[in-house]
Amino acid sequence: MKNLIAVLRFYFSTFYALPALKDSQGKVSSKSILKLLGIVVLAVYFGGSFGFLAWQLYANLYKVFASIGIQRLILVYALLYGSVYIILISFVSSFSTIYTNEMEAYLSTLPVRSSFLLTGKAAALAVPEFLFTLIIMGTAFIVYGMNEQAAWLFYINGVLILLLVTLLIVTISYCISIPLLAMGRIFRNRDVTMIVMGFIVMFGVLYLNTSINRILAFTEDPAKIISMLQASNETFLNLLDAFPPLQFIVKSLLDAANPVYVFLLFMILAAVLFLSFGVFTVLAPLYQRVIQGFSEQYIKKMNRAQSVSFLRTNTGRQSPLMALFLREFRSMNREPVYFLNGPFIIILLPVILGISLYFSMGDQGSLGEITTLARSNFTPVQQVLVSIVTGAFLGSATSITCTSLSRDAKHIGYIKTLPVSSSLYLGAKLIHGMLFGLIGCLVAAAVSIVLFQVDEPLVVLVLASSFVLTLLFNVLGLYIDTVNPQLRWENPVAAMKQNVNAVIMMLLEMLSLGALGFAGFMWVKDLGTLMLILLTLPLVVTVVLLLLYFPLGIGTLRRLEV
Amino acid sequence: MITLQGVSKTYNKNKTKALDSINLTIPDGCIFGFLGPNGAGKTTTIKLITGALEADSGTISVDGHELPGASLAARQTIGYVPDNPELFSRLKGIEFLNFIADLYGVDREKRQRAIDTYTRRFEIADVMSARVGSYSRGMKQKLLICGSLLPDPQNWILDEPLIGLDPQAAFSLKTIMRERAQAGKCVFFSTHVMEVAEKICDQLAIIKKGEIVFTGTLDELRSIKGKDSSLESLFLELVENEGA
Repeated sequence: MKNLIAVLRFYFSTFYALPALKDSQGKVSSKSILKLLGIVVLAVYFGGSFGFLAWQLYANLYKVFASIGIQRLILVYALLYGSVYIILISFVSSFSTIYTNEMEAYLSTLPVRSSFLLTGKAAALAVPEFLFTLIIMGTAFIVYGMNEQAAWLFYINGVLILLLVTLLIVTISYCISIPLLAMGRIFRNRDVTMIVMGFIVMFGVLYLNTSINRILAFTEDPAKIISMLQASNETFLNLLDAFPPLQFIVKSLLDAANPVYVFLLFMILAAVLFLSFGVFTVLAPLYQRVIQGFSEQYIKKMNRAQSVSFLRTNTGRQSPLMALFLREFRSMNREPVYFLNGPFIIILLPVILGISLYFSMGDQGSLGEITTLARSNFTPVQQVLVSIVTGAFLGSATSITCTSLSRDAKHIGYIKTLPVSSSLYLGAKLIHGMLFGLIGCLVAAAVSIVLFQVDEPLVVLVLASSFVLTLLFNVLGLYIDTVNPQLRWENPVAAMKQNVNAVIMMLLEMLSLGALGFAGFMWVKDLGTLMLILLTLPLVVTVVLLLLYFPLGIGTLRRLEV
Repeated sequence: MITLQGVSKTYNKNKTKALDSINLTIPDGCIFGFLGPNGAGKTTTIKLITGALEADSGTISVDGHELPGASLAARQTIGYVPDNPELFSRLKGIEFLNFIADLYGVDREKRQRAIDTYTRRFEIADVMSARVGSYSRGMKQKLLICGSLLPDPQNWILDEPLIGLDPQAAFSLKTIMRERAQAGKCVFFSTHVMEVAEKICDQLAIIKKGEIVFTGTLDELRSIKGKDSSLESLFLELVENEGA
């Protein structure tokens, strides 16, 4: 039992890497309190944002359902629809975290039962899964309970159901991922799993986006929902005859005042808990085999003739700046964790935005209708403004510069020994960020042409202005990661996804561009003012920041001790 | 030639003293071994010379270029093999070597010749198209050694270079060290392996808790201690008793 607790503590501390309240000397400092508070604020912000979105969705649904007396359907909907997402998230998380780094192989050599290792990992994964379940499913329960003035036992049952769903889904996810990894050699490679999971998440996000937009569009036409529901003439619970577990869960919520259901749910939860541990014990040997054979490397060796020819054709001279840029580009974009969470955003975001736009404009709309709607809803100045803000957001959302030093981390010491000035090293990072930034700006320019059909000189303005704003945000990203680089990490995820600098930058971009967009819509009526606010002023600020950045960056790098 | 005069270095905001006013002269044309127990300050000294760290006080000069002022010029004369070979795992072997050669400004012809020579000597020419991340520790170490030799540096600095090398590669490394010293270049390396130091070093320095406790040849060490013992026993005697 001691071992299991030690494993649980290990996985929780390594998975979440939360800042401790006490520093290394065991003292509570103002810095550590501030760090912890910051994390709490961010967690509340993100949780609140998703919670608010879910609340709006279910409140909307409830309103429509209640108007025709079928509000109980919201519970079925949340249980079914929510389960699909939780299964997706849970499967992706379990599959991609079975092997995180070499530490897994080391752990499997320690005198700890592999069933404990698997249970510890599953428990660490179950915490965020429960939070997802709470948002995706629990929000519907709360909306329903509050509107129906449900008994307090309804909420107890609700929590028990959420725990039950989380536990079941996490266990099932491992039941699928471990045998899959054991069978398929191709999956036992961190790069392959990251790419596969990245695409699954991408399609999941797209599906979520599409379906949410469809639901929101439905609410405008309750008759459509009525007609869909009228197709079934069974009583509400009889509809669920084919799904006894679902029927039982819905019944336990609808008949929550009966305390028998609390007892039954408790008993089921205990049984599932016991069963899950049993499943992990059975899966443990297979899990150990997967861990031990993970990331086996195969090096393709050339024969002498091939290597002579290869070395001759692949040995060429570049300028130091180009060499630094190529190193930066290859190091980031060949690492799936970095690429999928960084530059790939430029591809993903326009697709999501396009789908949102398509459905928000009406699901029957052709491109012509959409452009007509877009042109008629916005003034020419607003059309340019929307395009610029879109370009600036796309161009700066890649997190390239705001994680650039953090990603290099342990390499910085070595790079400092090479005969190249720090300004070139930092400049290469900015160029890398701006290369992808430019792609984002071009996408925005294309949007302005296709969607708003703006004139050519204005397209140039869109391109120039979004480029300048992108440059501004990328320079700010460099500042943030230079002043506060995250240099202690064992896993690339920590340098990118868990990097507070990326979160700060994303919030800063969203707030600044939101404020600029709002101000533009409210007060800017002519192109001259628009140019002043979105081109001239940002350009001046960017130039000043750039001039100040390089001395700061060089000095910071010189003092940096890795 | 590399000289350090009164060099001190502290970590953790002056709480941990890593080097305490050390003086060291590493001449050209010899193999200079730098010995000391774990945490004695070997890697810190090497990082100060190569520019990875800055000294708190004292002067460091590399071929007349004083650090940190003339750091760039000094680094141009140094080929460095760090103690940790985990570098740039996403680059291919050839990309790493080209990167190093580009930063040192090695021209195409010279780099082709050097890459061919050293990758064959360390038997990694056949894996140049593979990613560094797929290499074994020894192969990564060999790649770093090859990279450090591409610009034909006047000062070759190696931090624990023998760790992870197979006997054949270790032999090649020692041979190249001797060749370079004979060509009048400076070879400075840290090691824990006393047998290697005993066999190949022309001069030695022993560091303990941030202080140099001996500099000179092995014969000088023997004469000071009045014993005709192995370097290992002399070293142990020195680091256990000296200053205790």
